Amino acid sequence: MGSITRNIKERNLSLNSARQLALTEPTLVLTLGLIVIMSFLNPYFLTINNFLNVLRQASVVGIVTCGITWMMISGSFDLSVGSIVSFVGIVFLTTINNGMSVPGTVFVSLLVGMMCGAINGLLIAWLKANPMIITLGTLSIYQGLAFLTSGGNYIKVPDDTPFRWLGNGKVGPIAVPTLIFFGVALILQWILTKTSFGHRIYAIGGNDRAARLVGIKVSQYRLVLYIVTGLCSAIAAMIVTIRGGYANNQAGLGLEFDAITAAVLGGCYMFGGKGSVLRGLWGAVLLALLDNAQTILGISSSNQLIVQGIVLIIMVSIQVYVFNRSKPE
Amino acid sequence: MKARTLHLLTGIIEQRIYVVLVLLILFSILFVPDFATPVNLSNLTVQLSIDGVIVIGMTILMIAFGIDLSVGANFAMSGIVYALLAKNGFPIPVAALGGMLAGGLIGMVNGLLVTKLKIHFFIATLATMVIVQGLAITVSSGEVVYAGVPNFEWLGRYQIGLVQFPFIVFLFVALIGHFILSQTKIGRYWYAIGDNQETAKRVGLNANRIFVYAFIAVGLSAGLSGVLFAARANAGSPSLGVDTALNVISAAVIGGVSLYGGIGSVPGASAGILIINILRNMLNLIGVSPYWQYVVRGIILSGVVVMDAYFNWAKRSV
Repeated sequence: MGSITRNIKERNLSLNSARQLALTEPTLVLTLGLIVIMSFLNPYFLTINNFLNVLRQASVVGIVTCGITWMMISGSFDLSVGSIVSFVGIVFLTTINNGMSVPGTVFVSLLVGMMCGAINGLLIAWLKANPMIITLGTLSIYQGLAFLTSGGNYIKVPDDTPFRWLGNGKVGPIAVPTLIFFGVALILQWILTKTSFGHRIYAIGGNDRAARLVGIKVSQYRLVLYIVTGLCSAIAAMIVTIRGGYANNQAGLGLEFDAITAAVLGGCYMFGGKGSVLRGLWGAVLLALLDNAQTILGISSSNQLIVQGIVLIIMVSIQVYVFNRSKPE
Repeated sequence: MKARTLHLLTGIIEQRIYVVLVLLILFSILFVPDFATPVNLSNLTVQLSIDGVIVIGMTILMIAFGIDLSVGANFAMSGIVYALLAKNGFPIPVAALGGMLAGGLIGMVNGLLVTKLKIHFFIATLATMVIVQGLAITVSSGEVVYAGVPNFEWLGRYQIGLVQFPFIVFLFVALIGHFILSQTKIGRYWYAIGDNQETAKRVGLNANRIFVYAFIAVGLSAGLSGVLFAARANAGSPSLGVDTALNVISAAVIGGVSLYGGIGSVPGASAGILIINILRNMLNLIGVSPYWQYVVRGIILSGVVVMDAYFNWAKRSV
């Protein structure tokens, strides 16, 4: 008798801890589950080649996600990143075609991205407008600018440009976009955890008003956050343009949704104050892994959209559940 | 005398939306060639009605303090459902009703996600937007769906003189919306939960259920609008509705509906959609490139959001 009850207790305990793990670390459970299931279904999935491929595919969304992660930690949002990517991509190629030097082109592209971010930041930080709706508005503005600068046409990447290395080059076995992605993530993570600037971002996200009361200049911080997000979008824009072989006004379509999904998938909090860039990186890789698995299984891209939406809903509702349970009421 | 001037001024500021509308109409009639022709006005009413129907639903939801970003996807999906049902032999009224109910269902799902799973409405509707887009592409195989049955286009094309049927529908929906918001209990409840959900709960309102009703209202209106547009275009298409949410939210905010809940009215929102569509029509007639219109639309939305933040400063800083 005694041993049976003990057995049941132990089983309950292990069930409980499994449930606990699924609630506190859904990202880990999803990652492991995906890898285990897929390695049974398809031998190609668990190869180094495929994994390097996934890392390269994750890089564009990943770089944008790095910016979005900062944004979410500070308790804010940016829906306009996709349009910034389209717009900067067109600016990038137009500058190359006008014969600008390599550093000049990089400078102009990054500057345009940062300016787009600065416009968002100024409207939101100084005029105190709702970030979701404002960036929905600027999404349309940058989309329009992308249309205007490209005339609605596709612009091809010139064949002889040194920038080709940026999208297709490799260092050892690792693709250059992956390296840039990891580099951006590490720098942003370092700022977030090792500098007072980063700590204050957490403070703002945790409690905006309290942060203001202890003397943090919240508006200035928000402005910088939006500029950094613009910068990340600009870097992503250059890579996606080179990799795609052309720029047009739809290059960044849906990227904001991918980036938000990736950040949430990695375990960043929707309510601000929690998360890290490395988690955003993990989320971006997991998202790419999910897409890769579905592509291997032959699931159509429209159905992948559905899956992505459902995964986002599940992850957010787990977060909300844990958040409400842990409230000290 | 001075007091009277002041009174007049406050009056103008409070009713600024209608003042702007009247000025805009006067300006267009006087300075924009071809604006005041019967054909142009008739076309204008159709364009305005398609988005206008959704604006009424969105107004209700925004008053109850929510936003639905999925209306565009919903709009496309409902049109496809209408076309598919009609194509497969259902009578037109049944197919139209089916399209509209599909919209209502999507709205209900949104409402349940927000109230039961407690997901923030922006994220929930962003996710359903993508899911519904995916569904729309899947069920239509990514192609335009032609119904190819007689009378399919009736709902969108029927005319009494120069008055188009969609415009009649819009007026009807606006009247019903206004009546519900201003004369019925549920309307008052929407204002109540939008203004202060905690208080509304404490006085015994079932805030969650009332909120779901608001989501169903916006879903139904998006469905109805999708059916009207599919009828007008004689087909359903998955690529529609890309900037529906943008237009609709802009119109509502221009019309004085607050992004922070509890404030707004159907006449105001209707004036908002009129302003947006007259502006767009004007730009078209003057010959401004459609690319610029994206920019203009975005600037308008950003501008009115800043305006909204300014006028609701007191309410928000409580």
